Amino acid sequence: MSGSWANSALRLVGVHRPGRSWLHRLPAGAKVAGLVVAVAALLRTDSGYAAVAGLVLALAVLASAGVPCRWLAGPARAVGMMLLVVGAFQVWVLGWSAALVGVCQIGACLVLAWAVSLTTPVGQMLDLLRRLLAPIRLVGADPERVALTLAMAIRSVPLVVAAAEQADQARLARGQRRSVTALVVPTVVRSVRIADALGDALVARGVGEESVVADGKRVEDAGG
Amino acid sequence: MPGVRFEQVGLTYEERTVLADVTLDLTERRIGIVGANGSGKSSLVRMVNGLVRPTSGRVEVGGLDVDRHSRQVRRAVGFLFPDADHQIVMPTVREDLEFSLRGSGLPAAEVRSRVDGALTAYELAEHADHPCYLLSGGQKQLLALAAVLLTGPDIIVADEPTTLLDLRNVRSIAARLAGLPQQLILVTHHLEMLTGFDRVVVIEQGRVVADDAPAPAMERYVRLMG
Repeated sequence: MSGSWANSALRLVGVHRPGRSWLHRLPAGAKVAGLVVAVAALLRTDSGYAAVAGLVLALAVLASAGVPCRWLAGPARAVGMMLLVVGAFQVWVLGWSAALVGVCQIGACLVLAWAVSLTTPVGQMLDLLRRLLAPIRLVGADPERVALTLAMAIRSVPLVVAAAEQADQARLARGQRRSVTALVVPTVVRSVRIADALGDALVARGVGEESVVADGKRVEDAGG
Repeated sequence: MPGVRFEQVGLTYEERTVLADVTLDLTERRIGIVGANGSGKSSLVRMVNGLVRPTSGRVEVGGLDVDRHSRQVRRAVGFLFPDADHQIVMPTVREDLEFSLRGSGLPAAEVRSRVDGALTAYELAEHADHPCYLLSGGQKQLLALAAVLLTGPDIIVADEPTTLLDLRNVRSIAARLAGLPQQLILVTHHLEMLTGFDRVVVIEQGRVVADDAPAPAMERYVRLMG
């Protein structure tokens, strides 16, 4: 696992790039609604022409966001590699025609979702999520917490990737290149520690109403 | 200064005693806490905002029992962790600073203005929309400090905030901390950061073994470390 590969992959995950394009100016709700409609339409088609047209259109939408090419190049390569693998598998299983449709559908969906995340600040996404999830209050759930959990998941990706990279380097340094255990165990342990530390940080920053007691159990906050 | 009071505080994890009978009244503006790894100093300061609860005794901040008034206490206490990466919650620099003011009730324009002010003051303006993971270690700790200060705390607790930093960044963070108007409780292994402090507490095996002006306290600490 190389750092550049990891960085490229990370740029696909919820990183907003500021700008003044029409996509940047569009409200988050409109973008997400458009994405849902576009994905639904793409997945309904079984025509190769329509799927290719969908992918071209999705690429045009991404290009219109005005994000610098050098920022897009790395992640685009990562997506391209993934689509090649998926495409090869589909050619083997389903044949050329179905593989073309499948790859174009997946590619178009990814590109459109990427365009939305590149042009929408996480804060706007959280506000939208909170509004969309408001009905879950009826069953006692807290939309704010659900939205925050999703933001934390996005934020945690680079931390877990870094943990995996460190574990991979340590594995190589110890001559355990083929050991899956030497990669997975330290990555999982570090990830759990990161989650624990992030939990403490959230409490320290005033999120949640719980405290950590000495024996590690969480109890309700007595303050008010 | 609001002041922090530890009253006969003890902490045990299963069979292990982490802190034993610690009584301290911290009212000075600049207080350093030093001790060996595992001496209990981090557990002690984490009690200031209720991240760790004592198994015996009590902790008060500004006269409020941390156990019973944790929400108010956390509003008054800003906490800096050793690894800023674990303190940054949002994907980009600006979003993380804005997160500090979520739920503050401030109008959006005021939030933006305060965040812009913090970005400029902490030399993060050019990185405002960058992903946090691309910042250097020093920049991440500056972001963590700026995020803490945006909430307007009365007390800053900094738990080894320079552990992962190079000398230049240690000095930068030290200068920032030294200039804060708030009461500062600083846990550190970088003894030079305690120059000019009002008081230094030395913790060894869960007990306070020195509580004095910086020079004699640090001399005692250096002797203890052999």
